[in-house]
Amino acid sequence: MTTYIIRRTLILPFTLFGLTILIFGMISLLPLGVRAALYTPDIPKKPGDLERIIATYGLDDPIHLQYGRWMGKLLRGDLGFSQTGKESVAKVIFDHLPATAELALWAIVPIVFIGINLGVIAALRHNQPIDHVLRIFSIFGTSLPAFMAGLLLLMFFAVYLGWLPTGGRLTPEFQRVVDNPAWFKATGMYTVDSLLNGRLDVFVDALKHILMPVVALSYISWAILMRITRSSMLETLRQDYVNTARSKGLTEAEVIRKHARPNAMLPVTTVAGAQLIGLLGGAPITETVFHWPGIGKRFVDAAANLDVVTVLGFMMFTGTVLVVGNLLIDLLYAWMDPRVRFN
Amino acid sequence: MEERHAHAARQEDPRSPRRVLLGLLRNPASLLGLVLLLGFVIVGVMAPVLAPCPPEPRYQNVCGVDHYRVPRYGYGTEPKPPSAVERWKWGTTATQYDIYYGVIWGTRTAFKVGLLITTLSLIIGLAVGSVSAYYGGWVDEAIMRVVEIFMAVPFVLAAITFATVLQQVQLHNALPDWLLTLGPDGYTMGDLIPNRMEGVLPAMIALIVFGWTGYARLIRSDILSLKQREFVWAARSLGASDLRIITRHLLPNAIFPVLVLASLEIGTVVLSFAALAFFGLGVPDGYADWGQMISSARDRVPSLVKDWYIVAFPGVAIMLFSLSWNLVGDAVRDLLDPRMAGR
Repeated sequence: MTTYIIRRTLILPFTLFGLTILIFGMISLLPLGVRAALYTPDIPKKPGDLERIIATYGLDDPIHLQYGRWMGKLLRGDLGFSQTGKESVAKVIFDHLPATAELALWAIVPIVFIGINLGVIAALRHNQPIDHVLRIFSIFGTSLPAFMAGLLLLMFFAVYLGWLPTGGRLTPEFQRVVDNPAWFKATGMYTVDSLLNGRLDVFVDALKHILMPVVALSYISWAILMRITRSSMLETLRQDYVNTARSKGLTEAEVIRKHARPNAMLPVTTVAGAQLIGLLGGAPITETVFHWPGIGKRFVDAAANLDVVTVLGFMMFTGTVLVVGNLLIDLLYAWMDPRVRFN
Repeated sequence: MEERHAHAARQEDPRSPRRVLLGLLRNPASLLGLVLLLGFVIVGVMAPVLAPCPPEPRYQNVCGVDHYRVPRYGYGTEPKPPSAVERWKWGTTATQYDIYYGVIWGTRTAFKVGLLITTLSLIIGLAVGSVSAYYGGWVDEAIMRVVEIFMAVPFVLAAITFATVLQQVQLHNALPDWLLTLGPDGYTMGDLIPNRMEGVLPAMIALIVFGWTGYARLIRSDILSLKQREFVWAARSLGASDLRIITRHLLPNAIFPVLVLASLEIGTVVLSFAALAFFGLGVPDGYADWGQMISSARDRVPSLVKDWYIVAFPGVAIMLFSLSWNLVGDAVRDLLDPRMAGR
């Protein structure tokens, strides 16, 4: 177990190093004028400007020198300057992170509870009507592109029924409350902060705003997790030790709770972890459709305006988060699986 | 050819092409998927008949020259509803492009984009994966680490980033001079290769560059299990070169499942391409593409119930397309997975 953890952790720096090479490779494809934004917020305007920037920041130095300089900035948390945000890329990410984190945190709830439980139900009622209904849901779920799902939800619940807001994180009235200096800003996540501030009305408003984005962001993961849980559970239920448990007189509920379910959950963990991490990949679409001011929407806006330095900075940040996240999932998986834990 | 099939002698193998095809035709869900796909093929082939370019010169100058450029009826900013008498049977988008024409020709775009991206990523994946598995050892280790780096960032996110970078790249500066001056007098490569990548090219290249990793892993695991088999030793002892062993002995025996799974990825690839187009990346306004047509709905949410047709027609097309691939894909995955046999 210890050697596994050490070996797995030692790979981390290599993967992160590879990621920096990949991103620097993309940077070095860029024309000098665009690359200048890595070092300075000034956009070259006059004829001599670009030459001055190139000379100052050594943009025509050999590639390894440039990489070293870029790495040094990166380690200090400096990702360059955002032309669309008029501030540093790191600041842009930092400002937009709470909104995305809030969305992802809320999305975990339905993924874990709905997805996994539906899968178990489908497996226990194998080839019965409910199993077929759930399978059809799963196929439709994976076929409906996220932006379509978002638009359909908006059309029905926000525009047609008028029950939920059409986008954003708060209604303007409450946004003013939140932007007030008196507001205690602990996490930047409005559903959490509102409770800490004892403002239930703000909490309800924030919840109304987050409901549809959470569904649009996570329903594909429900479908995928349901399918994985179902097949893993079916596989486990046919194992000899499950029959042994039955034959020693346990009730079917006990067999499932104590013997089948925990073992069936092993492959589910890996997929669930990948899905949670994949939420970051789905964020641009969901946040764009619901005008949710998180890093995903900011990323797409930067891409649409060809603000490459911002886009690359976001990719570096997301990549780092995901590589570390994947490591944590692997370690969790090792801890959960006795075959790895005792080996 | 004969000898290869003889030593592959897997008459009873449930993964043989014949058995898979039979299985697909027997399963009602995958049969429905196949019928839907056939429908899309017919629509794509018949596009010039179903949606001809209007005969007037001002339309002929657009869609008469390039069929994928959708005819435009005016320059308003409000979409026109479907009409039985007007030219726009299914209405127009907010920028006055004919929805019916776009959806019909969009079928061709979907197949074209899906086939091209999948084929090219498959070729890269096959080459990388088979080299990695065949040589094993540190080569395998190194290549797999590179694959992990490419998979570190979610597919759509990486593709958006790279597509944005590619739109900024000045090809003539990025390519070596000798390549640009290549060619007979008067016609150099520099004239043939445009300086800036435009249209669908950046999005397609980005999806290929980040899309090959899954295939590499698949073919690698298949070849790993094959390369210890007797026929490989036999070929080697007869003096066959590495290249010959990989291309004539290993790949033909390992390729079928990968090929099938890859062809089923076309649905996913088209969805990813549509997502990029939805963000306004990759496809210019007025190009016959489903994702691009829906993108105009992004900023029109409050009036979407009134203007339902700008989402409905391209949306249904994209959903059915992806659904049909998923229906077939699900069944194929079950047929190819020996553990699922008999379920």
